[in-house]
Amino acid sequence: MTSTKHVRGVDDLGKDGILEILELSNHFLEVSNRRIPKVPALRGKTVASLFFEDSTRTRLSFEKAAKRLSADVMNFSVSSSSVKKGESLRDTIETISSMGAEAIVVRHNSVGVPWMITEWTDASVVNAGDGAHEHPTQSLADCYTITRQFGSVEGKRIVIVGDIKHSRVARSNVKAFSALGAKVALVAPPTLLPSSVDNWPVDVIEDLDVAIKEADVLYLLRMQLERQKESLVPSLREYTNFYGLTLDRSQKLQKSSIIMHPGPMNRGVEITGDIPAFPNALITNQVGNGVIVRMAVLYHLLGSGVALAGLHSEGEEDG
Amino acid sequence: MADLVIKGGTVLDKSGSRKADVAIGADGNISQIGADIDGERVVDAAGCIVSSGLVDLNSDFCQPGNEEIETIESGTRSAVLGGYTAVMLMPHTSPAIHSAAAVKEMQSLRSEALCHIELSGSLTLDGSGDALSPIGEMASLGVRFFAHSNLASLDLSLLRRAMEYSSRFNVTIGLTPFVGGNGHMNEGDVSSDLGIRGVAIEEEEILTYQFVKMAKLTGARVHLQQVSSPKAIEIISGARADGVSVTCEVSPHHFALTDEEVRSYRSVYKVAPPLRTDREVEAIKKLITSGQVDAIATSHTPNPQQEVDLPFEEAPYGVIGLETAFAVSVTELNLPLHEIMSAMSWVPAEIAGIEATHGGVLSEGRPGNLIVIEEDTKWSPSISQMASKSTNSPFDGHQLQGKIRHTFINGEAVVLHGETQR
Amino acid sequence: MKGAAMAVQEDGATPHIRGVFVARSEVMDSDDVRRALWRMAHEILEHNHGISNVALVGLQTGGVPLARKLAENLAEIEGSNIPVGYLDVAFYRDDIGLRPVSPREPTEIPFDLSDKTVVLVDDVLFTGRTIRAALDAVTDFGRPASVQLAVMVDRGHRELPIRPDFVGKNIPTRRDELVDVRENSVQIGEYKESNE
Repeated sequence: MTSTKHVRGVDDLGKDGILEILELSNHFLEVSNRRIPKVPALRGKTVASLFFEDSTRTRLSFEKAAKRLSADVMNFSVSSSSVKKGESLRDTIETISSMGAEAIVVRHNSVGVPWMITEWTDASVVNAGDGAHEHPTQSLADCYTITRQFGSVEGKRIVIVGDIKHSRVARSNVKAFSALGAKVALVAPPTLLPSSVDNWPVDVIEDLDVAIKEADVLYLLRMQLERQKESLVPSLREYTNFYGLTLDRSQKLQKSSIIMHPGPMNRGVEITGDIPAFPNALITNQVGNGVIVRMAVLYHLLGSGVALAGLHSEGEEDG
Repeated sequence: MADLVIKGGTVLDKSGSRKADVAIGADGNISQIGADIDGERVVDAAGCIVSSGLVDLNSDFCQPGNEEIETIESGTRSAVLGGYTAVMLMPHTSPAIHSAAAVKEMQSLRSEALCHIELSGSLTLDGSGDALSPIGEMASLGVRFFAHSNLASLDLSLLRRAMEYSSRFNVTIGLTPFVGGNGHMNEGDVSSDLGIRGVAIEEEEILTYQFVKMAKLTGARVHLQQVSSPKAIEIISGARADGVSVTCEVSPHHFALTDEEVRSYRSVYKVAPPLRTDREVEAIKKLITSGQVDAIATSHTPNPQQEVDLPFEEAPYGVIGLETAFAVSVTELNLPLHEIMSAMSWVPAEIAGIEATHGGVLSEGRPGNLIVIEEDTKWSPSISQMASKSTNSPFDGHQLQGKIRHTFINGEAVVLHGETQR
Repeated sequence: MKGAAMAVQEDGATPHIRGVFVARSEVMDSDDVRRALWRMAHEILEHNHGISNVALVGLQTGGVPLARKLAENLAEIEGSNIPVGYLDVAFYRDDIGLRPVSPREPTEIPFDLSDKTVVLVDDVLFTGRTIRAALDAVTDFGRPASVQLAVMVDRGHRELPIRPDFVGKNIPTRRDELVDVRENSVQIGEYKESNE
C-alpha cells in the first residue's frame, strides 16, 4: 500500500498509487450501485471544500463522494461570507484546520496553491484544480473510464486535442496516462502547445485527421472563447475547422474507439452537438466515474490508514 | 597617534594588495596606510582583507510611501551589514522621484541613513513611460542617474527623446530589458510543466538590442540593469566595442539560481527578469569571470509578508539581497577577490558618479568608507536575523562563504563583528 | 484460502503485512472439516425447517469458500439451490483510520435479502467485531427477516455480545495465537516476520 498523505498532483500517487485508486474504485462502483449507495467508512471525518474558482460540478462531485462515505462536509466558497475578502489564504487555511477538517479539497486559479497549503495545515490536501497546472482527480476518473472500457490504459493510443497550453486536465492526463504506459499524442494549434512540449513524453501530431485514425481514445478539451480574444486562434470557426470533432471526422474513428471530454462542453466548437449522445461517447460515464474515483481518493487518504503508516498491525486482527 | 587603526589586515584596492594597517583621522578620512601603526582605538583585521566598501546600483527602500515594508533606516542597516557603504536608490517610490520637490525630500531623509544614499530620478513622470520627468531640474540638484522602471513599457520614440534630451545634462540612463505583466517566470521546460505563463529570454535580448542601438544613435550614456541573458551581455559587449557608452549589471540571484527553483512554487523565486535555466546561468558566470559584466547589483526589493505568502502567479516580483550579495558572489563565482571588488565596489562607484568618495584607490586623504572582509568564513544567512523588514530572501539557510566583519562609513565603525553599532 | 507463504487472514478483512503463519498443531484434519461442514448444513436445515427463504452470505475472504461448500452441501441434501452472496466488510469496520484497512475482494449480493433468513458464514469467530460490521452492511442491503451466524471455528475472546448459531468446532486459544482455516485442515500457530 503506498503511503500518500496528499493528492495534489499525479506525482503524489505515482503509477502504483494510481493503480491502487483504480482498484479501490471498483469497490466503490459496487457501493454506488446499491440500493443505499452509502458506507459508514468515513463517519466522523470532516472534508472541507474550498473553492476559489467557481465550479458547481466538481464541488458537487466531491461533496457527493464525501457523503457516500458518511463524512461531514464543510463548504467554503469565496463569494460566501466565510471566506472574507482580504483574508489571506494562509489565515483561511488555518481557520479551516482549527475547525477540525481532516481533508481539504481546494480549487484555485493560481498554480501551486495545494502545495503551499500543506505548509499551513495537518489535513490531507486534495487538489481540485490549480491554475493551468494539475487536476489529478479528473485524471484518475479518466483513467478509470478507460480501464472500465478497455481493461487497462497500458498500450492504448490516447489523442488529446485542444488548448493544451492552458489546460490542467491535459497536464495531469499526460502524466497519468504515460505513467500507466499509454501512448499519448497531442493535437493543437501551435499557439496552444506549451513551449517545451518536445520534452514531454508525447507525440505531437499536426493534423487531427491523421491522429484520429489511430486513436483508441479521443480526448477533447474545452476551447475557451477567450482564446480568440487573445489572438491565440483567429476565430472559433477556424478552430472547429481544423481541430473540432465534426460529424465527418467522427466517422473516421475506429469502431472500438471512445470519445471523452472533461466538461463542460462548448457544443459546436470542439464537438458537434449530436456526438455526445453517440454510444462511443463516454462523457456522462466520466461524470459518474468522477464521484466513484473521488470516493476512492478520500477513502485512500482518510480511511485506509496510509496517513498513519507509522502504525502497523500488532499481529492479531479482530474476528 | 591615529584616532582609529584597522590593524593586521591585507589592504586590497585597484592598484593591488599589500599587508598594511590603515589609520583613520578625526576627520573621518584615511590618514595613513603602512606598517605597524598605533592608534587610540584598534580594530582587529588580522587574516582579513581591508577594502573600499561595496556600492549598490539598484535598491528600493520603499520610503516615502511604503514605510511598513522597508525604510531608509532598515534598508541602510541591511546595506552596511552586507558591506555596502553606498547605495543608489531607484526612483520607483510612491510618489516616484520625478520632481525637484521629491529629490529634496529624499535628500532630507539622508539623515536617517546608516550609509551614503545616492539618489536617482525617474526618467518618466510616475514611471508611466508616457512623459519625460524634469530631468534638467533634478540634475541641477545633483541627480546623475535616471532610471525607467520595468513595470511600464517605453516606446521607441519616447526612449529616443529621453536619451536625446538628457545628453545635455551628462547623466546616465538606467534601463531594464524587461516589461512586467508579460509572464511570471522564464519560458522553458519548467513553465511548460507548471502551466505558468513565461517570458522567453529572446524578449530580453530584443529589448537590450533596442536600448544599445538607440544609445548609439543618440550618443546617450546608458546602464543596463538586471541583465539575465548571456546573449544580451554579448550584445552589450558588441555595442561597447562599437563605441556606445554602455555598462551593465547582473544580480546575484541571476547567477546563483535557476528556474528549477520555481518548482517549489515559492514566491521568493519570482524576480524580474526571471531566473533562467542552468545553461544560461553557467554562461552568465563565465561572462562575469571573463570581465564582460561591469557590475554586480542587488535590486534589493522588499515585499510585505502577506505578499510573500501569495501564490506564485499573484506575488509581486523582487527579492531582497543587500545582506547576502557579497557572500553569494564569493561562493558562486570562480573569481579572485580583486575582480569581485571591482564589480561590487570600484566600477559601481564610477557608474554612480561617486568615485571621489567610494571605491577607487585607497590612499591618504580618501574618505574612510571601508570594509573588513573574512574571505574564507562560512556562514548561513537567516531571515529572522536580517535587518531588512522584509523576509523575501532566496538565500535563507544557504551555505555561503565570505563574511563582512566590519564596515566603516566616513571613518566611523558602523558595523563591528557583524553587529551594527547604532 | 491462501498458501502458507502468503499473509494469513484471520478474519478476511485486513491482511497481516510481511508475515508468515507458522503452524504448531493441527486441530482438524480434512475429514474433520468435511464432517463439520456436513453437520452444519444439516443444522441449518433443521433450525430453519428447510431452505426456502434462506440465503448464505460469505464474509471475504475466509468465509467465501466455506459458504460455497455449505451451499453445495445444502443443495445435495435438499435438491435445490440456495442464493449465495459475498461481502467485504472493510468499509464498515470500527478501526478505519486507526490502522490500514482496505477492501480485499469484491462484494456481490445479487439478490434482494429483504425478508430472507440470512446466514452469515465466516471461518473464525474471535472478538465479534467483524460480525458487527457485517450486520451493519447487511442492513444497508435490505431488511432480512433474521440473521444467523455459521463459523468453522469459535476461538473465544469475544469483545461484543455476538454469538454463533452454527459452529464447526470450539477451540479455546490464547489471544496471541492464530487460527488458520483451510479446505483440508484447521491449524493453530503463530505469526513470524518473514525474512524477505
